[in-house]
Amino acid sequence: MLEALWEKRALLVSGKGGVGKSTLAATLAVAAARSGRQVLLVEMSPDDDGPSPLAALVGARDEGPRVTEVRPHLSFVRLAASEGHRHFLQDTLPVRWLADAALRSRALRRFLEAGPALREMGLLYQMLTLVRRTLPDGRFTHPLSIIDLPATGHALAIAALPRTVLSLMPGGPIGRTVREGLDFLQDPARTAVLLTSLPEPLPVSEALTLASELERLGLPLAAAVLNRMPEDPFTPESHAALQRLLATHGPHRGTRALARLERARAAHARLAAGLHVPLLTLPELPLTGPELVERLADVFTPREAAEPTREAAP
Amino acid sequence: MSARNLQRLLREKRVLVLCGAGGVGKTTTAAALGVAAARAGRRVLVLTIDPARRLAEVMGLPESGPEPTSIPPERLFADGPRGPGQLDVWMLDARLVFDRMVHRLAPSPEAARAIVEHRVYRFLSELVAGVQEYAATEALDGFLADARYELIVLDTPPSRHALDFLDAPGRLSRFLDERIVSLFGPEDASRGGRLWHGAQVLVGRVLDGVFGAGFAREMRGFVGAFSGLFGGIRLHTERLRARLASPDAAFLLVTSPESAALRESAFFRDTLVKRGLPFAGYVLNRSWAREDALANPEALLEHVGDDPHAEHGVAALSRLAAAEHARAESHRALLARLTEQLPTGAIAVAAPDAGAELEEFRGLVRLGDALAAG
Repeated sequence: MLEALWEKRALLVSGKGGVGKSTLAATLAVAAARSGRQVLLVEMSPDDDGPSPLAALVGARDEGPRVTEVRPHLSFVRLAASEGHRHFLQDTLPVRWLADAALRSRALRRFLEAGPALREMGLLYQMLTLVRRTLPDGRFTHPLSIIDLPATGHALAIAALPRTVLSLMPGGPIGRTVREGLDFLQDPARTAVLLTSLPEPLPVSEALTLASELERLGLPLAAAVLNRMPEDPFTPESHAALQRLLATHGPHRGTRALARLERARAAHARLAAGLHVPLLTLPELPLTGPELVERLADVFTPREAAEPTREAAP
Repeated sequence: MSARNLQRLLREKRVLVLCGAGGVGKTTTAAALGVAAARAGRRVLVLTIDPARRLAEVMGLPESGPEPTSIPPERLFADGPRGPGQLDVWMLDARLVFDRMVHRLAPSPEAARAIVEHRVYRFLSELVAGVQEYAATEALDGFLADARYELIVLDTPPSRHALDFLDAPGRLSRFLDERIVSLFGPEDASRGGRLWHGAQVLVGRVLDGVFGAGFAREMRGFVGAFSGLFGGIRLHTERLRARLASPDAAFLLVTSPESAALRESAFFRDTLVKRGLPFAGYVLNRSWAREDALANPEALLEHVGDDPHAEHGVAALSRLAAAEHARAESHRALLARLTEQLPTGAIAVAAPDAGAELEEFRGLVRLGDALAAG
């Protein structure tokens, strides 16, 4: 499963806010880097101010729109619409001085920042620029990008963007760019979308809705990941026996966690039944931040498998 | 003390703005606070954006409608005597709010129609950053002038950063900035002089080159039609800003124990304070901070008899109890740290994890009571 994912050019991590989307993106990036892949972890947030939660998760200093190496095999970048606009104007306009002059115009910069779909377009363009970049020997600079999409609303805006833009401006360089972006995003050979959720009733409902939205937009959903799955210490028999005891003797300490566990199981079953793709789970651990990411990466890439790689790339 | 304060907010304020990152339970908290205030006797409107379908069903909301829906008093006061309070809920429909605004601000019905039927306008809410947020502030402005409501609880649009809501109207009004408008507007020789003219020609070439001449022409048409409205929109934005900065308003930040809450919370608080907006405090949602006074699972062992499955079940429950305790401890520590960072007069309240209870309206009532009781 994972090996197939590592062969893609881009993994898009989607999900509603607060379900651990950034944690999953960071975890995948760390796991892929450990197994020797060259990974670019990408934050795609519609606003480029405020603290970057994703940078903190992998211990990257948030360097703005420049790619920075976090550790061997792992780099981080926070996309910025303005950077995408700059590349776009330079690539599109016939002469360099026109692009430079255009970028100096405050009114135009403001328009690009706030005009219809242009912010999302800028983010998409910077992403495409990074994905296409090659080394002198012709290999891709960033063979695998793992992209933390913004929370659902904006994520769908970015995914729906190509269609919207194409219906508004079918011709011209923007239309062309967006069509290329769409081809890339919809190509299951190059792109895989991962859907993140939590084992709770509401997030699962939202994940199912999001899955059908993604399908409608023609994006290749490859797997779903259920985050923070609580540990299940029961056997089916011991669970049934305990329920009988509690029914007779009333609630005891631990029943709150038990109710939560039962909700989580039901949510897991409902999500598994509602999706046509593999469903992975990540355990709930009493950790946060980079420690959590490192431990969760163990789930994807056990340390034994990771060791040789580390020796190979000290 | 914190309990009295949250009750006071519900009793005295005109506007409660709930901010928070997506997924922290902002909408549920807004609904529960609205329920609590209405049950305490006020006429309340909860203005919500995109509530989860389940919550909408619990509240008895239609998918979306042109007017607020009233919660029937027999549901609001199901467990006791009816009070004078009243609760309405409106699920914000950004398109509708915009259409109304255009019709109100346009100089003539024909001008309004020209805008509403324009191709660019039809894509506006999907395309322009901040349209939802702007629509929320626009709707809030309208309802503040409405004598039906004493308190409006505003659930802000889902976003990654709690501050999006505050910035979005600004972003929209930047799009509606006069300079941008004049880029697209008809060329006006009387203003700006040669330099400006030069900029306009340059931008014209760039836009035609980049967007294709067709789109640039359409944008010009649209901006031309829309430009009559800009003055009114700016006026609204400024008036609302003043309102939100007044002591009538209070901003609450909803966080969840799981999210990397602390850093963002501090950032949010500082930004509010810097902008002169009244920060009222934190709601730590889905908290397990309150410990139940229950017996330990080991007490069940005397009823196990010689059933090995039951014994295993009790041992498993003990493990869960230990996890539950650790969770409660960490939530308490988080609440304590949030409380430490509070400015004077602000509050930090833990909202209990309602779990499956929110499947019913009663769950909202209980959550509201728990919040108001601190």
